[in-house]
Amino acid sequence: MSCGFDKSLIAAHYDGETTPGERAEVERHLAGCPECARDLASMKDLSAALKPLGRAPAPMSIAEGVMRAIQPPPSRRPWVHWGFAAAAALFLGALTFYVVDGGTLKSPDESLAIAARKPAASDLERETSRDDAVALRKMPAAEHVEAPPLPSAPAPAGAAAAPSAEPEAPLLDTAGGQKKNEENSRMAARMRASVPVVRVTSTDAAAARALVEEFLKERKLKVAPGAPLLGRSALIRDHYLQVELTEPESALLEKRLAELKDTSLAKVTLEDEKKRVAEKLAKDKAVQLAAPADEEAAKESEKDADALNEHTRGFIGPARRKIIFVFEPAPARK
Amino acid sequence: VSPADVPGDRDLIERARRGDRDAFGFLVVRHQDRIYTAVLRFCGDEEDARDVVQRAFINAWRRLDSFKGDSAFSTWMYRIAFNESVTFRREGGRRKLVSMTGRDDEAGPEPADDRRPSDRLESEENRRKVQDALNLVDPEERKILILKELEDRSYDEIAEILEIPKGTVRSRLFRARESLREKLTVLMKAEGTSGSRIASKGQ
Repeated sequence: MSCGFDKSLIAAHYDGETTPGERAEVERHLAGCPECARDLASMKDLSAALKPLGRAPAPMSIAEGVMRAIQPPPSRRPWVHWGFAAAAALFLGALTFYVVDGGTLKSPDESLAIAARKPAASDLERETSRDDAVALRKMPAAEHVEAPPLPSAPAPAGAAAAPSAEPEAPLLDTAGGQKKNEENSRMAARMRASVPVVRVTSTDAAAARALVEEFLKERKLKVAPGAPLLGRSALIRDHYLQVELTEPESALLEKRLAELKDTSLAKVTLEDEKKRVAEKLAKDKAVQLAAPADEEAAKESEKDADALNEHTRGFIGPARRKIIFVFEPAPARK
Repeated sequence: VSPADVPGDRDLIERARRGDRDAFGFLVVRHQDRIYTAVLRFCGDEEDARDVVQRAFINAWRRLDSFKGDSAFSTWMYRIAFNESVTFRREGGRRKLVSMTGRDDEAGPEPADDRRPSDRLESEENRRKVQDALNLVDPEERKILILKELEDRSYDEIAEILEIPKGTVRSRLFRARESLREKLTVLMKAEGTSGSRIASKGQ
């Protein structure tokens, strides 16, 4: 204080923020002023005292949270992304959904038959979800008829048989409906094709399952995230686990599973597994479950696959992908 | 601002502006440590800091168009993050800025500390003391201390981040150091007495 020198200049000198002229001035002064030299020293002490507050690594949850937050809302209206061809397919997806939701059906074939019998748009609107109903109303009839097939779809013979310009007519056309139904399920299948199924065969299937659940818990991962791709039957609940893991995570988990006693792993595709599920359910005389599981999965997976893609694309670092684990009891070794 | 950094960030920002979320993700990962550290020291609480930094980045994404290319992304982010800290605080935050109970057991151990356990214990003690002192400093002065002493930003950058003239940086930094030194001295002297008493006195 008493020396009258500008103390903030000493600080600026310490911070390396002085001009060459200032620096010379400060250095000259410091040489002859113990008080200011002390100030400089105490500034060094202060910096040293702050040392313990070094850089703290940001928790990864920050980046994850940010990426989640900046994703577009998960595919509420997929047709916005897919354009009109997809919109047409979705339109029929909605119809399919309605039919399945109607609840009285036993097989996809019958559902088509009923779809064909269903007469009026007002019924559809009542039964489908509100969003879908809005889409139905907004979709001009002419565009309906002229909806181009999806790029990968071969032109089916029945397509030409949808000639009517009346709004509801294409809906009533079984052949056209079937065609679009096919396209629809093909599209859904494409999206699901990438989900691997890991078949875990073990003498202690319960332990294997517990291991997976523990693994998820350790990492605070949700058990069974997203729509169940294989449906919701009791069979699925008891024997299947749908999870989301990064590649390293799934590699580690698979390694741990393989280390279990009398346990073997095999990878199959979701489509194969679906067939197996359907067969099993049929064998268990639970045919009525098979259709809903299938159709519901197709419908939900549209949303889900889209959300999954967005999710996977948007994530920095290793992305989590869906994997389904199946647990099967193996006969105990004698 | 290291010239090597700039093209990378600029390119990523350009891509992010066109809707590339991954590009923004890279920006987040690249800058999150320094922003998190600054915010953590400013608000003194890990959970609050996590929330604030997350909000800040989300905010930055939404306002990418308002980012002017003539400053560094980090400069812009510090500003957003500090503003977010203040807003967070005003809205009540997760808990009070200065834990008045003094013993903030909620604060977990500092991550990634590879020192020996005995050293760690001592530095943990030190760290808490210094953080306590920092918490008692006026928020504007605290910001400038963090930017200079911890983040080693230049006066020019600090001026830009805090939107104050460079001359003000110099004088405010001077006052901030005085203030922190004072608080630290008080805290050190009060060693053995409960930190809470000191903290409430400072209010």
